[in-house]
Amino acid sequence: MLPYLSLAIWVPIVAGLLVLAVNRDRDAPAARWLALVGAVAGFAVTIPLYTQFTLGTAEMQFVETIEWIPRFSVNYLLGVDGISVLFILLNSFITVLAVWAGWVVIQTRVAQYMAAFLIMSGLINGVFASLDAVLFYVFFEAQLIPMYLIIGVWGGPNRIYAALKFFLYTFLGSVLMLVALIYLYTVSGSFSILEWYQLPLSLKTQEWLFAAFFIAFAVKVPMWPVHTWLPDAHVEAPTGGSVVLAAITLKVGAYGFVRFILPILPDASHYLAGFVITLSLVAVVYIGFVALVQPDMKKLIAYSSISHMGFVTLGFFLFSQLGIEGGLVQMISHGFVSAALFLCVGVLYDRMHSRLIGDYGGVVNTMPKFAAFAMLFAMANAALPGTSGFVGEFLVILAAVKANFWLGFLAATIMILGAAYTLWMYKRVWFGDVANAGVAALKDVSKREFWLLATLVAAILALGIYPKPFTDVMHASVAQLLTQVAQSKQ
Amino acid sequence: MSIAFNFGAALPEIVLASAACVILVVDLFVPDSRRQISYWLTQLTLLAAAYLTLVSPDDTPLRAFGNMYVTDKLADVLKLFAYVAVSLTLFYSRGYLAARGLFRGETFVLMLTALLGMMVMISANSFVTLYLGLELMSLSLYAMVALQRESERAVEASMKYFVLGALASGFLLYGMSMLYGATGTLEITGVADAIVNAHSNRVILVFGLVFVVSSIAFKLGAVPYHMWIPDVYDGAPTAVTLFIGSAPKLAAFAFAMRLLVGSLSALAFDWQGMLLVLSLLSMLFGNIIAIAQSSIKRMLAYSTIANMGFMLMGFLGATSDAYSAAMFYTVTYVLTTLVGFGVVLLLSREGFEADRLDDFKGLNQRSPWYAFMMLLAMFSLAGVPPTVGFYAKFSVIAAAVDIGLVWLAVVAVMASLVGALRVAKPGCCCRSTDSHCFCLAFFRRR
Amino acid sequence: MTVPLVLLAIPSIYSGWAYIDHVLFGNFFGQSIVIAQQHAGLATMTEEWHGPWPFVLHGMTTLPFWLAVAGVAAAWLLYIKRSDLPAKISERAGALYQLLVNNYYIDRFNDWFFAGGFRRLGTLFSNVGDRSIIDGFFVNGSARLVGATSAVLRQIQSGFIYQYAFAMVLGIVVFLFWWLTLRVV
Repeated sequence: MLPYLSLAIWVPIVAGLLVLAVNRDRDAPAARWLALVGAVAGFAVTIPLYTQFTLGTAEMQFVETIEWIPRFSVNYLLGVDGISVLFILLNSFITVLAVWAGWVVIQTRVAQYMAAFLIMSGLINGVFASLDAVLFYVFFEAQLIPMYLIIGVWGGPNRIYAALKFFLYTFLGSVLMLVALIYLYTVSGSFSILEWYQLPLSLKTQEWLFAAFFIAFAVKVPMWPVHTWLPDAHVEAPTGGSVVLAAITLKVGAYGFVRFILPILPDASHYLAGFVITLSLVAVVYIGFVALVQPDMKKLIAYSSISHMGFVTLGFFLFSQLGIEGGLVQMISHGFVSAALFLCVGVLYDRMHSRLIGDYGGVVNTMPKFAAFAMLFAMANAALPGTSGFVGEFLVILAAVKANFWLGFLAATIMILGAAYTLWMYKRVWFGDVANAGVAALKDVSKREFWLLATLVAAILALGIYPKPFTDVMHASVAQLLTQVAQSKQ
Repeated sequence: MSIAFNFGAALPEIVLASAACVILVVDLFVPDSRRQISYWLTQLTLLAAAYLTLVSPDDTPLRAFGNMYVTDKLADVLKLFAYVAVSLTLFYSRGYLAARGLFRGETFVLMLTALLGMMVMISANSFVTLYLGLELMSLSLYAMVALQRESERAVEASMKYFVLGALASGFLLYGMSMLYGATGTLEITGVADAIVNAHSNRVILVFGLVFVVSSIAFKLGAVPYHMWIPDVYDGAPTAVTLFIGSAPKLAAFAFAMRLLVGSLSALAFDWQGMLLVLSLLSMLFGNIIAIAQSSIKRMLAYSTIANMGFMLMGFLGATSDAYSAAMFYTVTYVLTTLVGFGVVLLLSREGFEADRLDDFKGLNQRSPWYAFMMLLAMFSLAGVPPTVGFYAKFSVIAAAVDIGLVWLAVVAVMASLVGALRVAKPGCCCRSTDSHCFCLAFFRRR
Repeated sequence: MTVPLVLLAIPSIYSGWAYIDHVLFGNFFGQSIVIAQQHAGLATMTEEWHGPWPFVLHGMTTLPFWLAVAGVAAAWLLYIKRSDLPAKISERAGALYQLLVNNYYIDRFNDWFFAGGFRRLGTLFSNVGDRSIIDGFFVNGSARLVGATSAVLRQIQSGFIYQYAFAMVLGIVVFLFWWLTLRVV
């Protein structure tokens, strides 16, 4: 059997390095095609991960081990279970879209731009595939660099502030996690994450470790109140950057919760569940209100992302099959929906060079096809049944109501607020009379944009109408996660 | 006695010393236009010394000159990296030196004698040898800082370096004499035995230890013995700054190893505490003050201070793992510094120093490769994977956590976060086209 | 439009006739709908049920039927016979008319209280919560704090050599004092 996980990591990275080689500006078309081929190849090698995935077992699959730093017993240890495999697929899929989205817009330093996306894709696959903590950390941190450059080089006018804020926020969280990882190593003598699942730890220790991990992942998710880097980063990032940021890198944080915090620190997780749930609900409600009044479309979607990710963490800390699976489905769904919405803003921005809602109005008159796509994505963001957004949110709300009625009640406000800010934005931008000459001159979506958006429509509807292929994969792993969380390690 | 004169053990040093003399003489007869000859002779000397070091058998330590001198694996490794550092410094600074009339025989010879001093320090097995090497190195460095005679800043920096260095040497001699008084020997291994077996007076030992640690801290540039570093780094010609910032750190590491581990390991509990204080202060002060700097040389000076604090954090673990972590950190630091300063040097032209942060603005447009190299060096100094700086930082943090100093590790990483604020700044400087100063972007209101 | 309307009108009059027996009192739903014992209202109705025709006749004796007829009559009077009346009535009724025509002001209330209030709340959270407190105070504030500390601390680097030497000597003195008094004895 081929080492598919290694391929998933290294094919995009090698492709990215190859793209870097054609970095002269007049070679830009070659760089674009090479990048697209690399991204598609990167996606192709992840497909066997799904087709050859054995259902019904929580064991790690496609495991690869190579000794790496023997002095610290660090290994190049890869493997996926039902929780992580889907994110590798999602990531590789989104990378294709991100490369494609930058096809025309990016005209300066094309090769470097494309290479940054490919390399980042490989690194993020590494995050999801690592079963060794140091390996995880290396990938986790390394993927900051391409994103830092994407924002810092190809971003908007305030990009330096945004890039720096993004970098420092994330760095703050991860350095504390590094200490926690090293501490766990000195206690257990190993960096294997799976061995840590069996490691007994006192509640006090667990609480400290929880704090370190929690800061790292909460910043990444991002949870209230450490979320303010995200709107800035999104506003300044180029469209492709926003797509990957929202669709993938946020998931890295949430993934950390299920890979590290819940199974390694079950007692602290239970002890502090109320705290996390409170923060999640604040994210859902407070951020929902904040999203409502944003004048900038990208900011609005960024806040909507925070609100939706609050749902994910809420689901995780309800400690039930419904909640965790709902959270995971929500992560995947949000990957598609937020990517689609940012692409829509990109389509408008490329034409009008404005992201302000006030500059638009009546776009449906000049861009009917585009308006139809945007309507579907807006509905998916508002969790309309039949779209992917509904499945995850419904499962989490169900789990919340089972835990406590008022919890479910507050969680369900996301449906109202989500519909309010998304549809209100839709109304102001797309409906009404043509607002100005700029809107009147708009051209409907190009063939490239059409297929880009159509792909996402297919994904959103598929997950919304028939989520079983996705949830089947995760059942066994989530069940095992629940038994791990239920066991005290003191 | 085979130990008495075992010239073979010191062959690289002997070759180096002879070559330095030869180059000094040859250079007299070389016309200015053919100065390349001296340069290539110097590089050749380094190559020869490296070859001799490589072929010397290092399975068992070789002792020479009545056990005052030792060549072991530690010495070989450190010396090899010192050659690399000096060779690269020379290589990077060719254009810089030539543009400022410093591409002269004196420069090369002083570099070689400084290197010789470092090698003697690295291989010392007696307090006297150690002191000899230290002085040889330091005197050469003082002279190098003042190479630009007409530059007032350089001369001032040299004077400061000289006076403070002399003070530190005084500390060292005083501490050594205390230790001699307590143990009755100057031999490094002998001191260790004497402390364990002869129950020396503890007060005198600790007295000596404080002075010895202080002089080590001076050489490394740990707070509060760091004051010379920013002024000297800033005042010296950039090529010399690069030289001072690289190879001598390896020697200083050897200095600490020989003294603290070789002879005073019985007092480990005491010097661990002192190093803890030094390390903590260095990490905090170095990282925080670096932010306010607008000169890249001063900024890298504070970065040195902070990094030496990190190195000491590894060192105070006082296990062989901890020492190797500290050594790895030192080597990594030296290599990364070479890259960072190397870019500064290569960007400097005649009459243009490229040492303000503002000079790096828009570098990505002008020379993307240099910008990328600088960015990598900065990420490495901040310890971001997958750069080597991460593995160095990782291993010293592991050393600290291993002896239960989790709080120190937390302080260290928080300090390095502040450090990241600093290194992200020139990183972003390299990367922007904006006309306003975005170096202070993080402090500006939106 | 007429034909579809006619087609829809016919079954709307007639269809109840056909279904009611079967659906309400027959066994159409089988076990699909289960009625709890204490809520068996339909069972009481079944006892009084004598078929659709008596049901219709019985309906005509009740008040709702005649109210509906009155509505038809009022509509005929106001909009066909005397179409000038509505304007007069609305003039006379004044406040009552306004209340009714504005749907008891519920929409206005919703717009003002919910939509407007939410927007005000959102603006408050966005400006005060996110921008002033989190970003302004904590994020940029801590960066400024570090910057300010840095600016103060750099003053230590005065450039005077005697101060540098003093720092070194001070270091020695502190270490000596600390170790000789606290750790040796």
